[in-house]
Amino acid sequence: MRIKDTNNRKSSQGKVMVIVLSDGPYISQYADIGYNMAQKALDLGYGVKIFLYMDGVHIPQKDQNPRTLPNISQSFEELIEKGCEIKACIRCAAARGYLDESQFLEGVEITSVYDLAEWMDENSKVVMLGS
Amino acid sequence: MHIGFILTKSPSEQGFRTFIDFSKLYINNDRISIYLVGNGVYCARKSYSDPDLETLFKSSNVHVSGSDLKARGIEEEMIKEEMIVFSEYDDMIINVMENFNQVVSF
Amino acid sequence: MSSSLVIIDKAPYGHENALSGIYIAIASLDRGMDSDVLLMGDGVYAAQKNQLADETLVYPSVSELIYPIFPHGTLFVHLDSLTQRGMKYEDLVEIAELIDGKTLYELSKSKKHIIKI
Repeated sequence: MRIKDTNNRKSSQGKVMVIVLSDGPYISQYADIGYNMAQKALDLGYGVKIFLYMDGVHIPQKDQNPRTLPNISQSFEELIEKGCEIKACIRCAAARGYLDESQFLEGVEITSVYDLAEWMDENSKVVMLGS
Repeated sequence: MHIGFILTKSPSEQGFRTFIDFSKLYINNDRISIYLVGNGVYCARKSYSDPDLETLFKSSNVHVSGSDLKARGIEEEMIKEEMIVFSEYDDMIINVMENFNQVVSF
Repeated sequence: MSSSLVIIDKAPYGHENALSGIYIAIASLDRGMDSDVLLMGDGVYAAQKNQLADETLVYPSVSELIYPIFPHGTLFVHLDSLTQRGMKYEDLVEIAELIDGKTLYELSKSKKHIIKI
């Protein structure tokens, strides 16, 4: 069982960075930019929540094997281990053939866009990344 | 008010004009910071000229991702004056979380 | 209570973004947020009335999907974007509200979260 770094779930004074990713891996730089922002925010002690929307739901798919590019799913696995919460939109996931979490990295939840709405509270800042 | 923009689009990409039309609302009204990241660094090139962008940049603190510049073969001598090149995301994250009243990404 | 402005700048059907942006606004309103949608750039096409995508593309009509936003949220249509595209207010769904730059600035400043999708 992977042990998550739950200390990093405690954000700096309760502040949370919410990152919405709408591009899939490799098609653009957005997944990388999102990863870099999330990693740095976690290192600085902020809470980080990532919502995968539209093609962003492809990011945590298991068994990626990019030959010449860094493996995005492995990067996001590191984020989960550091305490990042990652959720994928059920409408977008189902449309793209992900009927449950079995094809995703452990720790990624399939949920609804209502969760994103709940994340958009007074303590969060939202960054939307996509084409 | 201090607003932060994260621009990830080059000038000819879809969404760039929306960035210009939206961000110019804040000129002369508020403090503006702009982070050029990903393809957004192409806006930093000296050789690229857009009157709306120049007006916006003159009214803003503009930060440019060094790693994205280097990746694209853009050397620091090739970018506009008074831009701050950054190598790590620390300041951007802290600005977003602590100093910007609003953050909008394009 | 938190607040949001969802900015849609892509035309509907050619991209999923208009539909997805509207869903964010609907979800936000459902969760008690003060949420509005701004159509800017090509996004103004999303407010064109009489869209028949459900018949021809077998795709949810974006102009129909927009209605649940009203009345707790507002569908703003950027005036300059509309006129640049040769469109008029009469071309739009009736819940659309035109907004100029000055009013848009005041609206934007009042929002906690601004999401451009």
